[in-house]
Amino acid sequence: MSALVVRILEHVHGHVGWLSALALAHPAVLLRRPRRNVFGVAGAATALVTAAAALGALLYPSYRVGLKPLILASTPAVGALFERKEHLGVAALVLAWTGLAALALARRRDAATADLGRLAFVAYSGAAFMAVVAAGAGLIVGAHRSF
Amino acid sequence: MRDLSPLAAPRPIRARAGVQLGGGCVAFLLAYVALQLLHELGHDPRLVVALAPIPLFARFVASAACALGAGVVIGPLVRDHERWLRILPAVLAVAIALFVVTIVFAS
Repeated sequence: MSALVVRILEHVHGHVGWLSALALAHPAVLLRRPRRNVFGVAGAATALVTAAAALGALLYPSYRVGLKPLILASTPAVGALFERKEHLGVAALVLAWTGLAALALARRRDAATADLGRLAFVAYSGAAFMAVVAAGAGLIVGAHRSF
Repeated sequence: MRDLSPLAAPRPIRARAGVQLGGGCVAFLLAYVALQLLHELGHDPRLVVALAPIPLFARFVASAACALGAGVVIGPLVRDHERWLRILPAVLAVAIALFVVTIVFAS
């Protein structure tokens, strides 16, 4: 990948990451009432976090080779922050998909609907928290050094 | 509503799927935590290392495989799916807290 493409993807990744962090909070707030149908909102938030994660995965090999050694050499704390952000991003992605699948199961109303809604609420709350922390950490690292 | 015989037991298919889904997610988080701790101790399992050249991706694939396996196994193992589905949000919340604490303080 050329340097220009990597820089563009990095910016898109950062912006989509923040958008997805805020979008994941929306179903989490709405699901305080677990029987509510929020499948569309949750689907959009999950699509955003998936796009952010895909871009991150695309950039990660370039980061490991080009940036990680420089960051770890100059400011190890920022390098460690970036590594933590990656783990939290992975968990946010998995939790978002778990929440969406629980909401898909809850669409047909029966005895399990409220419990599936509660499961989706916990999953989206956790995903939103981790995505906000990951986006914040990404902002700090990006402000420190980027491609 | 479909007309069901009063003798027909209701089949909690969605409850079972929910337990498999939630159990799989909990298994993913726990497997990831375990692999992360092993990585920090310098004892990465050879099978995990062989999955992908980048440790982050290898850990993700290995944890996803654990989640898939756990999800499949939990279905027939658990008897009372409705009861476990009621408990699962709390279990998932504990797994999320454990994951965050491990990643923040032990990596």
